[in-house]
Amino acid sequence: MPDTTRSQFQDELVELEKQALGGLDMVEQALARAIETVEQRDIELASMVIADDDRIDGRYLEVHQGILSLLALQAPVAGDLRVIAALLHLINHVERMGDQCVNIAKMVPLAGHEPPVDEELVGNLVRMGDLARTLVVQCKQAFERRDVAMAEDLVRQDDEIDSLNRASFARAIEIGDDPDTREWAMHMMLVARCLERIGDNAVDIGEQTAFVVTGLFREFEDASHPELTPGG
Amino acid sequence: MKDRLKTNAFGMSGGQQQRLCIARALATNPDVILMDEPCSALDPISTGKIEDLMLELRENYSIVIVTHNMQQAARVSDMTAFFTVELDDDGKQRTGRMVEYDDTEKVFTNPGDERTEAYVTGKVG
Repeated sequence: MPDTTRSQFQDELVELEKQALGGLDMVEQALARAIETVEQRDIELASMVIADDDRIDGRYLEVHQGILSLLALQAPVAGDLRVIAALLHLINHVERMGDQCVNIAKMVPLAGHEPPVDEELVGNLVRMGDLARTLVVQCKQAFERRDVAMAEDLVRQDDEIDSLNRASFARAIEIGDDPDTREWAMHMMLVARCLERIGDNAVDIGEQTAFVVTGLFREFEDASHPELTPGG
Repeated sequence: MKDRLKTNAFGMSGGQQQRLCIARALATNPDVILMDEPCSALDPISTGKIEDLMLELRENYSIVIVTHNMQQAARVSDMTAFFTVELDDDGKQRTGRMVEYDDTEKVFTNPGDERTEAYVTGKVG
């Protein structure tokens, strides 16, 4: 007799989690390319990022269907139920982050063939992008390991992204009122906005990690009540 | 029922027999009704009828249900107690233990004891 019963269900749940977390690997890859697209102004690479989002959407549908099946057929409870509920959130964030990569990639051709590039602003965006990638990797590891401390640490790095976002905004205003430059800067601010959102999605996945472990949902940072957040 | 007073109760369906038993228990005007595996031999429709009856009776009686059907415990109860058996060191003496007693929702979403967690999720052999 096996040490545990319902081993098929447990195997399916483990497999489903792997599939969902694999979605974060796909996001990390898409994000790396999206940042390169911005840095190199590579329109061809931008179209690859856009086309590849179908894979992330496909993964979303697979995991979503898998979750519905497990709920309907296995009636999970307690820790298993919390994992499944968290995976439903997680895969939704994966899908959203994939869409943000597409939004970033779409900005590059819109900015024109030889845009009036400001290297300081691009440098800011690349740093934000690298931080966002680190967050995606870290939120995956924290979930995999059920590591609440690692999940809470996501906030610290997300704050860096937020402050770079504000710096980029200031820079975009600073670089002048030439119409072409201003148009380019506005497109780049939309890129910054997408990166900032990806950071938030990663923090939300961290919150799901804490929910799985503790059984209690709490926001790491409450944007509408910053005074209630430690250090906020 | 009034037309069948003289006939044998075994002529009724399982669900009807079970409801007859509950009616007999109610006739004694109890404060608490103990239902030991009340649906163990019943089909889903009869089970549903008994569960509906429990939900109706809870207004006026305290009901204690013993069940191995965890879905049923989750559906019909407000509070859940999880009991298990512990063996002594030489494996001869078996002692019943109440591991956890809490709101049903808590027991099935975030139980406090890992033995409860293992039992409700089916992780015990």
